[in-house]
Amino acid sequence: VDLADELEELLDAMTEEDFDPELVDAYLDALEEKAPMPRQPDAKAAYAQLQKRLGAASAAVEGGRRRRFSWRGLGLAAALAGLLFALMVGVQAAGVDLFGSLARWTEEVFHFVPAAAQQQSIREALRSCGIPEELGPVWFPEGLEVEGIEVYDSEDLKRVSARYSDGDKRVRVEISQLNMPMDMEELGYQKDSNSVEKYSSHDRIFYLFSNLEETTAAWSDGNQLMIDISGTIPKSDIKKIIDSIGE
Amino acid sequence: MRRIKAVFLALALAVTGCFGTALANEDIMPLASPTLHSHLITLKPWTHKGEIKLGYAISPVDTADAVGISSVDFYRESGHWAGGALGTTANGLVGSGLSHVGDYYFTGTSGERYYAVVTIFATIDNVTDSKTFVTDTVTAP
Repeated sequence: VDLADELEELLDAMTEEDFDPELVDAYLDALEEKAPMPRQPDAKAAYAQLQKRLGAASAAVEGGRRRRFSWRGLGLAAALAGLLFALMVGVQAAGVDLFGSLARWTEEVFHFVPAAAQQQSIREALRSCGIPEELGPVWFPEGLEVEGIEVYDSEDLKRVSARYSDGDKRVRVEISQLNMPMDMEELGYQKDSNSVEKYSSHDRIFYLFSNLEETTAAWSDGNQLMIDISGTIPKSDIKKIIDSIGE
Repeated sequence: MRRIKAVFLALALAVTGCFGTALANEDIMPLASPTLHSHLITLKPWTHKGEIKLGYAISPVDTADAVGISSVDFYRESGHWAGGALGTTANGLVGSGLSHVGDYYFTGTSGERYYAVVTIFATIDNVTDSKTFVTDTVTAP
């Protein structure tokens, strides 16, 4: 009986639990003694042998598919699993939360991300800190994707800031809730000398003004709540964003 | 020839003067900001004796490499300097991202009235702009 066949049968028969490395080594030693590996393997001969084995294997498969445990298959599966895991780790590091963890890292820096920064949408973020979620807009110009949502929850101020971009144009939405209405007087926006325009939507009056290349639309309930939308998109798109804020 | 030179020199001086004036006007126009978007700065009496709280929320126009308070100085109502700090990430006055929100505490003398002079800034892609604001005057508890 060919030692190689015996070894193959042995490997097929063994499971993870009763795997005997010493027995496998003994077979390998016997094989080495019987047909020692050349110091410099003959590539052509090895390739011809491989082709022959592949042909035989192919014939065996065509002759009748036999479900057999294959160490080679297991190795391939393990390699694929490893590759997938490595990809998932890479994706996690890039910021997509696959493992439900709060960690992000690059080649040089590892850091934890505040849970709030992982909000999937501005309305979720608003809900998480107790600001009425209907104040979050739901329409954004085509191509603009959310790139970051930050939540601040201090004694005096709750705030959600979100950035949307398509790599060229950008929009920033900031929704704030003051604890003390009087603090509203202390809030200021940067603007240039261009005129201020009013825009009404869902009974809210937004004031639109410009700050150099940016257009800002700001609203307040005159008490505690404020919305400001700013960006490098056309004013008409900012108005559509305003229109998508809930009633 | 000497007259031509004089006329040319006069013209050159006039043109230089015009440019100089234009540049100077641009320098003193504090309108708008290339990096700062909004600010909320409050000064309030705090719970501990003599302590006052500076609350701040500073937003840049876009995700900032650094944003916050570069310096804060506390003055007595009389105008005498009482204390201050330069902003760092360690003391919490400087952060990064879409907004920077925080509180800074100053301990003065109970019963004294104070105001703060606060300089805010934001740096985006190596462009920095700053603005200075003066708070209301409050009485330390």
